[in-house]
Amino acid sequence: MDWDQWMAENLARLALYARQQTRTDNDADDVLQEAIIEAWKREPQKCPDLPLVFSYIRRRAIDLGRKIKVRQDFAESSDVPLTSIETNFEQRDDEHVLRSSLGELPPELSETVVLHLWGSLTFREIGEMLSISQNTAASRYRIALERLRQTLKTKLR
Amino acid sequence: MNHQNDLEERLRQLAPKTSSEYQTRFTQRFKNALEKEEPSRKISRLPLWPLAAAASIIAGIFILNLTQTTNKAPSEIATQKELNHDAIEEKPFIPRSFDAPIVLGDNGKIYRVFKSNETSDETKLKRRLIAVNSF
Repeated sequence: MDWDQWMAENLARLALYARQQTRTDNDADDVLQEAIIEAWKREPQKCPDLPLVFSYIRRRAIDLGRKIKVRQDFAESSDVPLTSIETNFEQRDDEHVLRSSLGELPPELSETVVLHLWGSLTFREIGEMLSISQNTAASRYRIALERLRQTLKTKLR
Repeated sequence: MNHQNDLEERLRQLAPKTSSEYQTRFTQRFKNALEKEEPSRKISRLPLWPLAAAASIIAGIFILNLTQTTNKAPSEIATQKELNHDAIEEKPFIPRSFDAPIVLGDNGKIYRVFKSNETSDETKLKRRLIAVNSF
């Protein structure tokens, strides 16, 4: 199995989604690595199925979020910053604008954009993954695009 | 609709790209993690037939042992369960239905003594001796 090629094709979209689902780059890397390995374990003979990896990323991010919340509730305060400087992605002006615009969307909307537009998942796959109907997934995507259009119209003028 | 298509195309062009340094670092880290996973997978993929064979042998030995025990002559079992007077004192017998006294027979076996239900004077005195071999 050619992991280098698979990573070259898919790492960016997976990393973006993992980053979107977690608080720090380190958490995102952990979640991403575990998700790919978990997907690979199901069928070691072939490259991991992309929708499956997205699904595992989401599940593991939720689990991690719960653990962090429990730790924080217990410790009340933490010295570790919740966000770190994002260095994993190439820094481009227009991309920066896009990411900030995506960040302004409600999570359920931006998640749909990332999964459909860059993750190449169909609305049916997104629906299955998020436990929503195919129509709801499509509807969220349309709403997200409309809001992004309004935002980018002013920012990327 | 055209607005949406234009925007989608524009967004696709802005697709996130990871830096080559991150790409290399994460891929290497992933491969290291994968190597750690491999040995445990190899163990889990071992054939189960040696385990099944060992279990069968152990079960066979157990059954054989059981058969030998049950095939023993009654006298042999009685010898093993033979009790003396001291044993009675160590393990008090509790009658199941009524207070039946226990006596030790001449042959060394323990007997429970049941009173007869019959009403005649002769039979009132008659006692039935029932050997208790279930100690």
